[in-house]
Amino acid sequence: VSLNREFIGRSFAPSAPYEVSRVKIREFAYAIGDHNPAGDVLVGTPTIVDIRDAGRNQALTWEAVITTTEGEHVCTATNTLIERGA
Amino acid sequence: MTVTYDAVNVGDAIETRDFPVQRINLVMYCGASGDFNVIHWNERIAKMVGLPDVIAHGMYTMAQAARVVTDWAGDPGAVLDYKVRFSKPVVVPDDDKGATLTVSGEVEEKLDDNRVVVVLTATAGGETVLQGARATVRLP
Repeated sequence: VSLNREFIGRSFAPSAPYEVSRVKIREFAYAIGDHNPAGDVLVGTPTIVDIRDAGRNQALTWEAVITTTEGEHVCTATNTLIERGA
Repeated sequence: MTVTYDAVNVGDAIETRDFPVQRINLVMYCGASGDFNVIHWNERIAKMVGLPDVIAHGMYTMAQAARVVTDWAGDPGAVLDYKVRFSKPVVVPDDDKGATLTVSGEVEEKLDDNRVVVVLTATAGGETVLQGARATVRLP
């Protein structure tokens, strides 16, 4: 199945604000054996930034801009997924 | 002991660490991350889709490798940028040992503004599980 290149540049609706609660941070820290508490309320907005051929495979790159509810940039997460060719 | 920008040099090694990975860790990470994909806890389905066994979440492995950097830098907030490629899965058998993730690091580059690039090597079961793993940190 060919990935539809018309999706490049498509942004999706921002997520509902997600509370990164102290408890969730603690669970994460315990899961990886780390100990660093925090707490934020964040919104993520994903965008497909690229779809391209990679040999016999296809690569889709999307980016999530993560901000506070006030719009302050916290981080940008970029993820490239490989769709394996038949 | 806290590293400082002035004290580090390109080529400095960061102490190699072993992280045991057992099924319980994956179950905990499922809950912490919200990623309950069955390949991370169900051996029957993992094998059905062609995997050798249950595999660790890529982001779990990524987080473990990052601890080498954040513990070295002394501050999890020091990380400005972090990228990896998941080249092989970390296979976690249901026995008393599980898998062992081995992570080492080296200072690759010193940038301006007290920023340092660390390159990480991560292996499990004799395979390189993270490729091109690099973190940029700001040191005091």
